[in-house]
Amino acid sequence: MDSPARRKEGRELSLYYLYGFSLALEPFSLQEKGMEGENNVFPLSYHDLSALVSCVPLAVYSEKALNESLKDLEWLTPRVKRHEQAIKAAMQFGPVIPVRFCTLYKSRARILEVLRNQYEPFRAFLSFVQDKEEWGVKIYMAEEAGEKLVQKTNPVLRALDDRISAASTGESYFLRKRREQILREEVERSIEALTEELYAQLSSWSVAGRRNCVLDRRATGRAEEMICNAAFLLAKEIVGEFVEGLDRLAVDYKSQGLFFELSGPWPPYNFCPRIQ
Amino acid sequence: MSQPELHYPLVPRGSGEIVHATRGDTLSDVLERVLDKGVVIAGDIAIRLMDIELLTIHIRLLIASVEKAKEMGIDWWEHNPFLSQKAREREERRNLTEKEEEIKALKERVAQLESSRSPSPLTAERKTRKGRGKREPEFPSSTPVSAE
Repeated sequence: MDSPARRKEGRELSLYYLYGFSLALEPFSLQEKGMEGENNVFPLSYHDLSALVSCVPLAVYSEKALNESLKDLEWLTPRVKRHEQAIKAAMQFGPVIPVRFCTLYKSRARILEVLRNQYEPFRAFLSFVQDKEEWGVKIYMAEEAGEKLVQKTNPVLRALDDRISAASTGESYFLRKRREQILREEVERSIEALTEELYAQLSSWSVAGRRNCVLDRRATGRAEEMICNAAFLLAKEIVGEFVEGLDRLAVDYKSQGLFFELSGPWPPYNFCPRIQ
Repeated sequence: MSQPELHYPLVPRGSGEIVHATRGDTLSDVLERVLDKGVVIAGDIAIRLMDIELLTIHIRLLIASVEKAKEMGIDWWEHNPFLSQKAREREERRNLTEKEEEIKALKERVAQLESSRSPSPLTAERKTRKGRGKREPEFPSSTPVSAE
């Protein structure tokens, strides 16, 4: 079903912006505005599978224009949000497979082709995630906490400390240098071990888990360092338990300088099927 | 199972309420997912995602502060040249004005120097340093370079 905006704009002047796939929706279900703040999001369906799209002006989404705009964060940021909002709107009706930002098609026929070609894997995945949600967990560590974790208990460092206090000035300089390096390595190792342990605990609730790259402090805007950036696919009925478990970890590890941040529910961005 | 109850006197079990961890559906989370995750299918428009890493870093930098900035009602990112086209244009305009002012100042300085050809204490001192004078392009004719 063509949107009125599309009819008005004419065939060559607009493109289809694809947000994701869902179980078949009625064309009037989605009231969400599209990428440009106009042109509603609407479904294009093949059997019981829908592609969620809206029409966008070719002038703005041509290869040339787009590759220029993508560098402009003032342009990009609100659209990334709209992309997400469209998917969230569709999630009210059922599971959604989110598609990477700025996936565009010239015709309905091309989208129907994708629906036809990918019907089996998409349909299977939608059934699989129907009763599941993605949740994000970020764990942060206070600045000095890593060193505290290592400092007192590490036998190698303790032994070095003894040698340093007994050494001559020249020798103690090199020993101190060595100590610094060992400390750094040990801090890294124990943070990784701790993170792995926490991740394993959280994973025990999930159907699938994934550890993504941690973000730089400049990017998070926090004084603490991010030590874990994970995503979990959870059965919906287990979410309450998971959240409580996470909260319990937050209490237990507070004294060690750890902070936990929860986000969700997300569409299964991190657990989408790979397609050719 | 009994111990957690001590931690959560106010939260009934199974409510999934969060007390000690923080809840953050930040723009950073959205960007991370929308730009980096989700199904990748070939569309009809090829977008260059090659510099996505750089882009993501800057977006993250941006949003890390935008939310704070928003709370404070500051739109500093509008003025960061890397972050916006509009800001870039403003930057270029400002550079141009600065350049014009610089040229104006230089012209004034030249006029000033031409009107007073008598050596200042500074140029007098320069004369005593052998070979240095040759590297002073500002006064090619008026500064007598030490004889060689």
